[in-house]
Amino acid sequence: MDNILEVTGLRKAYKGFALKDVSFALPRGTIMGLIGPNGAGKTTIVKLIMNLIRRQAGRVEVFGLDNLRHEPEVKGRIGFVYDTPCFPPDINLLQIKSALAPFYPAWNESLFRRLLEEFDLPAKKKFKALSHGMKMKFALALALAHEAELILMDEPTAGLDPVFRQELLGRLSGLIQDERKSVLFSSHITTDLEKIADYVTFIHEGAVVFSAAKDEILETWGLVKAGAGDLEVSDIPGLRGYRTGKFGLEALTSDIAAARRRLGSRAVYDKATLEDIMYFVSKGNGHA
Amino acid sequence: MLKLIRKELIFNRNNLLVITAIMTGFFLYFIYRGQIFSPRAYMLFTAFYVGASLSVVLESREAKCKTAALTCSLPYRRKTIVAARFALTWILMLAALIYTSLLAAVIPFSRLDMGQALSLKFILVSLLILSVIFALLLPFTIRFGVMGVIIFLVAIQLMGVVTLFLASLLRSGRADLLSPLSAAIRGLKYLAGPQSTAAHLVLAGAAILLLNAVSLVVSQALYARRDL
Repeated sequence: MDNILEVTGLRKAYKGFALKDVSFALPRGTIMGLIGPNGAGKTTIVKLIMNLIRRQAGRVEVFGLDNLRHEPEVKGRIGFVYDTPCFPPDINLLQIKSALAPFYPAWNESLFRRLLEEFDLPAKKKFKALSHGMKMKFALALALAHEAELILMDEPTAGLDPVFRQELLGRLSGLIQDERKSVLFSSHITTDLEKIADYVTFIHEGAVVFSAAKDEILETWGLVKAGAGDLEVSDIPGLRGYRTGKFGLEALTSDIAAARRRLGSRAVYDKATLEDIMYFVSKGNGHA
Repeated sequence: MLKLIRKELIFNRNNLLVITAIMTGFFLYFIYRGQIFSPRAYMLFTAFYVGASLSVVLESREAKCKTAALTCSLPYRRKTIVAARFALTWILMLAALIYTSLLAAVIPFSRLDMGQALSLKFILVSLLILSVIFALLLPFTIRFGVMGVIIFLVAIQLMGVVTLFLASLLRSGRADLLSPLSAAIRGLKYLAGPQSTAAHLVLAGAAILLLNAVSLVVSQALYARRDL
């Protein structure tokens, strides 16, 4: 399987924050979720891929091309959706479309019109008159109508109502059916990713905690629960974080099979959700 | 690049129409009053006013609507985006010059004789002056956005104060401090006058191109470093 996006050793430092050697790859025809708590560096990565900010080190290859050396070609094949779509507020949707469509040789006008209808978007309405959800739908319609091979979305589901979130997720799932297009979207709403992502890259404090197939993560990571004093946290293999309370110990391990083998009946075991993983890695004590 | 210019025109259409309406009223007043400006000063003022207004409008719109990221996500290099902004500013400035000159020439109550200003030599001198101003202004706006325009306009005001101060020094015998400025003014007057030759005009044209080229290259370098 070839990769549509390869990020290698990406670095960017701001005052009080640094992205540290971020590397991951997105295979063609798949959906990858970029997760992490607020301020983890998700938006910085998305912006670096789009060259909206300058990288200090590393390499980004999209469609096998360097994103800086082949910037126009790369951007022409990416559909980019911002967390807050930014278009001039005082012109209508058709005017915005007429300004942007000529940039894309593969622009599909009939698809755009169909998406406006499907999304119930009023073409003659000014952008400022749209709700946040409608603005997001419009941005998505623009991204899809130029037949982009890679859809890059920064927090697309934040602030959306559950109905449209489901609609959006369904649309993204449908998009990759031709096995040619791929989707990378950042989100801190992990339930969205559990529904549709094939791969998950978890960013914490500017570094990649893991980047792997979602099913593999959910199979290998798990929760270990034990009564107070039943076991020491240092006994848990692959410990990634834990919390203790009056009911005992709850810990996250990146190797649930090894934990079962070593601890046996001294503990009980549970599947970890992406939310559990995000919580324990970012907030749990005793990070491994 | 034409697509980028077209996009800017569509995105800023409403504001450009408002500016045109304000500009029309503003300049009709000057045309009617006549004695406030000579036709030549009217042309220069028009170009400066329009150019500065456009820079403020385009930049403030971009900052307010946060469309810089949108523009930079389009399939163009930042160099081309800056070049398009330069071209658009000059196109709009020249269009405004033609428009306001026509206003002064065709309005029945006009007291400005635009025939005095419409000579090749004076147009070249005007373009040279505008190039100096905008060669400085545009990199500021590209790098610092609206704040850059404000800094620039405040700096222009301060330069006025400094000039007045230097003028007072001149009266007290320190003429050497003002000599470069005086020489520049004498040079421009010479260029616009009957003594200047075709070679002088070619040199002026080359200076215009050079100033704009340097300004463009500086702006492109600054914009390439800007994080959005």
